[in-house]
Amino acid sequence: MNSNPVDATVEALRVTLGRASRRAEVAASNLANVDTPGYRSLAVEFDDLLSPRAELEPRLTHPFHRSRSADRRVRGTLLEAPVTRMRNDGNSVDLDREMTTLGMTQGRYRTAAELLRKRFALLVYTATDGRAGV
Amino acid sequence: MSLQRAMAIAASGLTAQRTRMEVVSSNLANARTTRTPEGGPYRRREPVFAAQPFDITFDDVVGRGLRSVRLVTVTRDPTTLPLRYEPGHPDADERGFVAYPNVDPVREMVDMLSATRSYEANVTLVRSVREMLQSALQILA
Repeated sequence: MNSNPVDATVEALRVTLGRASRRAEVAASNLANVDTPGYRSLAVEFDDLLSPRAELEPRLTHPFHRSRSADRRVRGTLLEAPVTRMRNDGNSVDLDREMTTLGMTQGRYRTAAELLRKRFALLVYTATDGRAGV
Repeated sequence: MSLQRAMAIAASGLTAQRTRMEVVSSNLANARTTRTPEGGPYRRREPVFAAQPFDITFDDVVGRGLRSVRLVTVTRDPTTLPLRYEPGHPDADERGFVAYPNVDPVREMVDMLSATRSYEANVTLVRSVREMLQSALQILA
């Protein structure tokens, strides 16, 4: 029996949304400092969602199982982005790369939000004996 | 919430680029100014920006690494002022030369374009984040 209150789909989508927000924050930092001398472009890396270190809550299949940790916030590793462009003043923000990342992040966020919407709509559909539309 | 933080960081970027634009307009407006309150001709202004930790109360590694941007100071360009021979000018020296501001309109134009592009980049981020927030609102709609 699964005592985990949140189902795996919702959980995975939650992490996807959190990670996309993280990427947006990092893009914001890079774009705000696009003209700051000496600023090094940042990038964020995440663990594979299936790795044991990922933020996903493991499935609890036994009453003695304990939740791995109460902290399910999205983690990530911030690092200096690989330098593709360096200005004389030591600024390494690559506007094209930032814009591409931002576009992809936005798309990913939107996709996850839409999937989550459908997921909840399905729950509503089931809960109302199919009377509420999906 | 992290999307709001992204917005706030982008806002600091918008402020910085707007300041750059203000400095450019000050330079262009005073390209021929020979009298200033501090004495002598106008000197080209240049804004200095610095990255600063956005919010030191962040308890996670990624949050601590984020940087917003802040105007540190506006400096005066100390390079030599171009002299022009205009003996009739009231600010001419005893040899008839007038010192004009060290403002190069071409350089200011380039700066203006650069500020515009950077401003647009930050606006694009704000738009993207807003769209993301809207799709989050749609989850339970």
